[in-house]
Amino acid sequence: MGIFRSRKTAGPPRAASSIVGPMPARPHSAGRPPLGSGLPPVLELASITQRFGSQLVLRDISLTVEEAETLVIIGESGCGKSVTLKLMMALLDATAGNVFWRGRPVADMPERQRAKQRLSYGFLFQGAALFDSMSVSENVAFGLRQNTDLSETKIREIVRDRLREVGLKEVVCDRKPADLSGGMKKRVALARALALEPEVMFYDEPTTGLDPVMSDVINELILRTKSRGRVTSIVVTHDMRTVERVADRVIMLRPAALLRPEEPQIVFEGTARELAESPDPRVEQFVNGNAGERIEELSLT
Amino acid sequence: MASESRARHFDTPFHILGRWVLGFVTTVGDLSLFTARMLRWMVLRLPKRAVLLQSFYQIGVLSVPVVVITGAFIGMVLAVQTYDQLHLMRLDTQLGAVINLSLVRELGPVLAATMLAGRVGSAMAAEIGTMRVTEQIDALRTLGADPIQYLVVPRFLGCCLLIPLLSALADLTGVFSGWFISTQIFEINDFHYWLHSRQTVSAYDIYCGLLKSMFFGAAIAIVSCHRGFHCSSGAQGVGQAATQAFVTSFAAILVLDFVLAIFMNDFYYVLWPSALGGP
Repeated sequence: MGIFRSRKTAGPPRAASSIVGPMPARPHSAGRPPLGSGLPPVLELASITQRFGSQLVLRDISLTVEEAETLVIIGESGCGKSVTLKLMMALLDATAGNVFWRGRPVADMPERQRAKQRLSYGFLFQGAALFDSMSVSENVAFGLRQNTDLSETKIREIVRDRLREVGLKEVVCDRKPADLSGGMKKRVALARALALEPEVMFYDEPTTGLDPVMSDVINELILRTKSRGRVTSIVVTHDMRTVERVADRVIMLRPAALLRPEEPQIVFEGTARELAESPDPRVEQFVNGNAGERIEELSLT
Repeated sequence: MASESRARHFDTPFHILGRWVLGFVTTVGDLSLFTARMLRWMVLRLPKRAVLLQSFYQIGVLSVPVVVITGAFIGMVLAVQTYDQLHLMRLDTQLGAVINLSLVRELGPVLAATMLAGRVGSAMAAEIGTMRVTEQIDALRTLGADPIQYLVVPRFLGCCLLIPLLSALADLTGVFSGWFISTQIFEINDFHYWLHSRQTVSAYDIYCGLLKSMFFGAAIAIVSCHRGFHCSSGAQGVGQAATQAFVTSFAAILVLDFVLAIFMNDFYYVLWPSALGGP
């Protein structure tokens, strides 16, 4: 069915390329440590357990994210993918275990330092999370106005550039988020996240709720963002097309409630091709979208 | 089966009471920490002027019609309700004293604050609650803004500074409408109406009313923002947060009114001990 064919052999030019604008290389990307320089990973989760009340969401999860790689986290709804992303960004505090940012434990950092560090991270929320009360341009300019002393002229210029990069024209600048389509909201949210030129981008289900063409546009933008300046990307999705197009490495989580006592929650780790060819029935079931024995849950209700 | 029997075991009145007490203590503790964080941000760094002005506009300017209507009708109702009683005792000219003292000391601040708890408090809880449910609060954090500093501090300052002004406006419209009904409808002598008012209402009464409304404003802001931050997901959660914000703010206004009334009466006698009478 063509899933997971190589990006290099994708064939004719994609429609997405014509929708989004050119994305220039980041000016300060040259200052990043080179690949394989022996530095600690960009992000690390060490034995993370997360509970909400009595509900166990993550059980003893450990993983690392290396410089400039694109890690895709997949899994059924409710398996803790978005929670993992928020833990990585320190938007949540783990019940147990540690999160490390370039080798430094986040738990030891005061909130002020965390907030400062977060500025080098960008987050694309599942529902875009645009500020309702602000216009598109105010949304994109928010981080710049909040954290820099740039002049209004410069900020307007950056906003225009970021919107152009995600394929949006200047006419949308004065619109409110409520007046935008789902795809436009996602692109504005991406422009907002990119305004501060992040080193790490988090994407929480970037293509959910979008039509196939717009999903492809978002996938293209993820690729362009990555190539823009060796941006490290962590993508949470259950869209196999996104996995195919953007992943360097894939991790699959299984809901904690379905795990046996000794079973690890990360049931797969490898490349997109290895995922497609995995003999593990749990992985195969997810990749092919078969309900299998899970259909029995319907009879229980 | 085991869990069912355990659940049944835990549902004794003592356990229900215990859970309620624990919940209450946790909420009060959380509210205290929330307030402390907000006060810390007020010392560390205030939000930008544009953010403050937007909040002030929402809280202050947009509340003017509600407050004017509330004040006007309190004054008129007081006049209508009190006139008959005073007329029977041939104390008609004391009507101004009764209306104006009740207004500036008690009814103006309390009823204006109650109306604002409904208009401003519920709106704040619903707005912040919606922001929480739609991950906009998380988005603020990812963009380097502290949600308490950005969302709560401007609303707290707006309520503390503008609700006293709105209460003063309610007092003013109440005094005017009370005077209008008393002198134009009940034909009470204008000179004596104001004479008795001046003899009864002191500057201390006016200050007390305005000071109380500042506390009411602080309570409305803290309770409503806290409810918004702890809103559960979905439209129902946002609706509940807005309702809880109003109910809790109203209860807080009544409790504060009682406590402040005692404190202010005692303070009056500290300032003017001769008012106690005696030898």
